[in-house]
Amino acid sequence: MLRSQFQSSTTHLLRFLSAIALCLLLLILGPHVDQFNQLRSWASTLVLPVRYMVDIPMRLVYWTTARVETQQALLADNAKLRAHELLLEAKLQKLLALERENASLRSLLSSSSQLNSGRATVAQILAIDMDPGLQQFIIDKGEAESAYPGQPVLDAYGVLGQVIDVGHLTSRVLLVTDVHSAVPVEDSRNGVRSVVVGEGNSDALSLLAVPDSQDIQVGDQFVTSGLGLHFPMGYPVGKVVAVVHEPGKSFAQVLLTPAAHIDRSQEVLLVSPDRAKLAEAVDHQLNAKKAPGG
Amino acid sequence: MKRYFLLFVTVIVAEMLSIWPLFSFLQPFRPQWVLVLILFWIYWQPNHCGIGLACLLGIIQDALIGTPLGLYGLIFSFVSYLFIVWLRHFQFFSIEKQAIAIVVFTALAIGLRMLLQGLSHQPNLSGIYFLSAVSSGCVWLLLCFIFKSGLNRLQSVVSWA
Repeated sequence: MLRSQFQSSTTHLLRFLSAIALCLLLLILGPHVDQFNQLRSWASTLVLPVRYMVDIPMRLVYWTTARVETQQALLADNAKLRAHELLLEAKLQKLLALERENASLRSLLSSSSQLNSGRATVAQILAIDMDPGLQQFIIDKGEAESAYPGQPVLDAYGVLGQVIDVGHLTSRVLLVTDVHSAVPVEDSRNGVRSVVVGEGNSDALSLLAVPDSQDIQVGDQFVTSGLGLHFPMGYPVGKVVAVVHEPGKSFAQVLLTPAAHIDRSQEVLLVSPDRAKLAEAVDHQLNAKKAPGG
Repeated sequence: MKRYFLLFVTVIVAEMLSIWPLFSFLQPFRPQWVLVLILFWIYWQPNHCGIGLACLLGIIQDALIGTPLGLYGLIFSFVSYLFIVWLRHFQFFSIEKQAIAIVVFTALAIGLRMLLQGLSHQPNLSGIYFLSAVSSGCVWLLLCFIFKSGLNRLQSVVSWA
């Protein structure tokens, strides 16, 4: 006997209402209840094979294109890398000299060193597209490699973001350009402190609540201040591209471009800063800035 | 077992296509693969595929692309419910009219997504992403062509009744 092709409308309505109730429960309780966060973690592990099925062919394409090059292109790349390495060696020597001078000056002032010590792990970004409304990506390090929520993520050029969700084998990273991201920073020119927030697209950041009279200029580099003991100190976050003073408003609008190569990085660093040393360094810096006025 | 295998394979392919990396200028044109697949399976097998499948695949989609868990579950459940209510009329449309109807359903899903994200003060998509509704209609045409040309084989593989 054939079943009726169409089930009753009541059945559909009941199923619909049940599905809606379940989804609303997940949406409302999800961010606030730990068990639901665990559910998210399990769901991420469940969909991991799908992510890798997309990532692996893309890596194969990258690997193949990296190996199929003309000799001329390889020689040109080689020359460019040698020149860059030479430049970096020179900068490194200068940095070492500055660090020695810094340590020496601090010892004269009886301050301890501000070295950013800690652990760093290299991770690969999975070649998959996340939701276009979000500024996030997935990396191939999870709990198994001691990744933790809130862990800073850097690339070769600056701060990329932080880990927000850790699965067993992968983690989700929130970029600094996401509207939910906030990074405490300071101006490397004059030490002005502020907070950088994302604008929701990959090439814009802004400073939060900057008084109109604050001395911030186009071209100023903002680096992590270490406040909040979250991000290590001194890493580039962004460069000011526009300062807009609107008449009658107390706050200026300051726009920055991210220092990190948001859309181009393939490998990133997961940093585990030494919290005790970071706290000490931040304290010293705050006291040093207070001293002249005290 | 064969029918579940076919459903499983099509779901995996749709999920993979929904996260396949595209150039940024092509992203607004990415079809809503999973939603179109859900509607397709409801159309072909209304007795066995319905709101439960839509809700489950929506939650899986949320886990895959990083949206809050339950967001796409809610959207897919709502759209599939409307589709089921409208199915009696839909079945008598020509394939071209069906594709236009799919464009409307997909646009509704995108609009609902924007509304929900706006209500929760989450970052939102721009209006250009409604273009994915058009490409979703094209995917419907493709699916119908593929399955129509293999329909007899499909019927023997998927022994529902």
